[in-house]
Amino acid sequence: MKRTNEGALTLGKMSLWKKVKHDRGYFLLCAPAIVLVFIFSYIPMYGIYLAFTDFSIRAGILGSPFVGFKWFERFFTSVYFFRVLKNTVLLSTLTIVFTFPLPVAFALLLREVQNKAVRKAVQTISYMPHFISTVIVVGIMMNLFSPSGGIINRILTAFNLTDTPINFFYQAKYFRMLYIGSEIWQHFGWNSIIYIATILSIDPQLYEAAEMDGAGKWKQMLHVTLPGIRDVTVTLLILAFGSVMSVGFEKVLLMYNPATWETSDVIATYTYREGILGSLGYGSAVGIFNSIINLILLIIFNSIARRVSEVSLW
Amino acid sequence: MVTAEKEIAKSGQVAQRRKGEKLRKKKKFTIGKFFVYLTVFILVAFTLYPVVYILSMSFSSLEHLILQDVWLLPKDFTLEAYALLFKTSDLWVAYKNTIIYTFLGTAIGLTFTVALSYAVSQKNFYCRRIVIWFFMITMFFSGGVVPSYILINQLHLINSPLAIALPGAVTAWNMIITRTYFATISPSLFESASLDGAGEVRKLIFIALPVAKPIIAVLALYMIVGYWNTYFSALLYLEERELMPIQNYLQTILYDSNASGTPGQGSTIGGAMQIEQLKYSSIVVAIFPIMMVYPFLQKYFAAGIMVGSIKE
Repeated sequence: MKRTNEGALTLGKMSLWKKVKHDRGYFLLCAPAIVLVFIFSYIPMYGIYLAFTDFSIRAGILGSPFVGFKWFERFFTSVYFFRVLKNTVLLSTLTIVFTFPLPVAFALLLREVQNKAVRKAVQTISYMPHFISTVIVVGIMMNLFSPSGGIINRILTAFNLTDTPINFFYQAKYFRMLYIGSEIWQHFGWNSIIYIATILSIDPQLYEAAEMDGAGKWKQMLHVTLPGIRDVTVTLLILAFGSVMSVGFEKVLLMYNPATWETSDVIATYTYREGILGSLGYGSAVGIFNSIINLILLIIFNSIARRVSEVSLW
Repeated sequence: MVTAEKEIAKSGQVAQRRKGEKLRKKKKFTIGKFFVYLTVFILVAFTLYPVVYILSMSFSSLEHLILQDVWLLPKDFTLEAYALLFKTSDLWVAYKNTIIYTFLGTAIGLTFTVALSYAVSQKNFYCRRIVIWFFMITMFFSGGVVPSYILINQLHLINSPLAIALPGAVTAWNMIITRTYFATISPSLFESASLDGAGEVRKLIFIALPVAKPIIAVLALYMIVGYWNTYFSALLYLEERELMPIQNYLQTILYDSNASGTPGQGSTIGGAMQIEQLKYSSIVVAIFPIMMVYPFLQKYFAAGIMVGSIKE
């Protein structure tokens, strides 16, 4: 603390030039990263301008005609506007609702596994799917759910649950289930890390005291563990809602097909189809719309998080 | 003195008693415990089954792939599918490409991120907050896919490995976790080095790096996994087939023929079946390297995932 104060004091006295001169060694170290991020993250922000032009790569940015709000109007009046907006919000909300509880429960469960070797092995296995690429996860899923000999259909037929094999990937009503199920499979172990670490940091004396008071394992969980992870859980939940507009674009792109667009087409995939494969100006406009809504939601939920648990991203 | 001894004696008693309790507990096998282990077992089975199934399919004979009677373990154990794999040159070209992109991206990302994070972790870097914010903003707002695509086009990076390696090499999130780690190094170490006339680069290399192995290991793993699994940027920026990384190659053989129920690639039944066999062995070969690495870095994961905050 003291050091910071001193730093702040001298900082106040120094002119900007002096500060920059003092920092030159540090700036040298930051320079490569700054240049890279400036080029690849900041320059694309000119997309805001592109959204108002009829952009073509041949004509360039300045040569392309300015069209005002044409693209936004086209998007908002498009028959797909409501569908992609609904699909985006619904898919990510449902994903949060269904993927959130399991990591917490898993962490609570692991605490009760006393054998250290077993616990470690279980953790290692649970992280595994997180490292498998989206392409492979979706590929495996397509295989398991395939109507021609996929294991799921084999089981369903064996138990007489269906007469004809179900073509899961070509029916809109199954899309969300498949998407969310695979999200759970991929990430529940990985997402539990933070809860496991938080549980480990709970003072063991609290458990001893609870035990002295005659609390069993169940009561200990209710009165010691749960309050101990409450803050981090609430924070993560709120922040998850802050990124509701950014769904797992790559996974949707790999999973969907025209037969399921009714439930699977989200803003990001629509942008890709209409933008990259269609009009770049229109794609930019839809992309910017998504970014702005995202930013607004993030700010709102972040301020809620700060109020509820005094934790925030900034 | 007396009280101290009493304390020790007391804690000894407590420890003994606790030991006794533990022993007693170990013997007791309660319903609760049974439930815990059962649930854990179900979760492990749920996690492992798809991968075990793929593995078993890759070791089963073509006959059983056609009969579709593999449930859990391989039937008629054979390495046929892997032998077939060695004759598939496309796969190895893709594999080589992925290794190049992964190496390039990780080398650049790691160097840039470590240098940046070291700098912004130092309290006497007066402009550090501006620099941190410069990176944080990219977490909250981006121009989107289309402008990035146009940019890569205008930089003439289409069909260049740099289009895969550069754009995501430095991220705000990696900066935050690395900076948090560097900030735990005692400042006095750096101060004495400064007095000896060491510059920032020297301090980073000779003082910070030797103690930062855990975070570098985690960063490297994240980056390697990220590049290894890259799909979309290759789809956007690489148009030539010979440049395709492994994920995009897998996409061409894994998809279509599966979901629609009709063979996609092979025109003859034999060709279609070969592809069926290839699917499983190529999945195994593609995930193998990562599966071999991540368990060894497991103990460092928690450090890298804690909620970072720019508040200090």
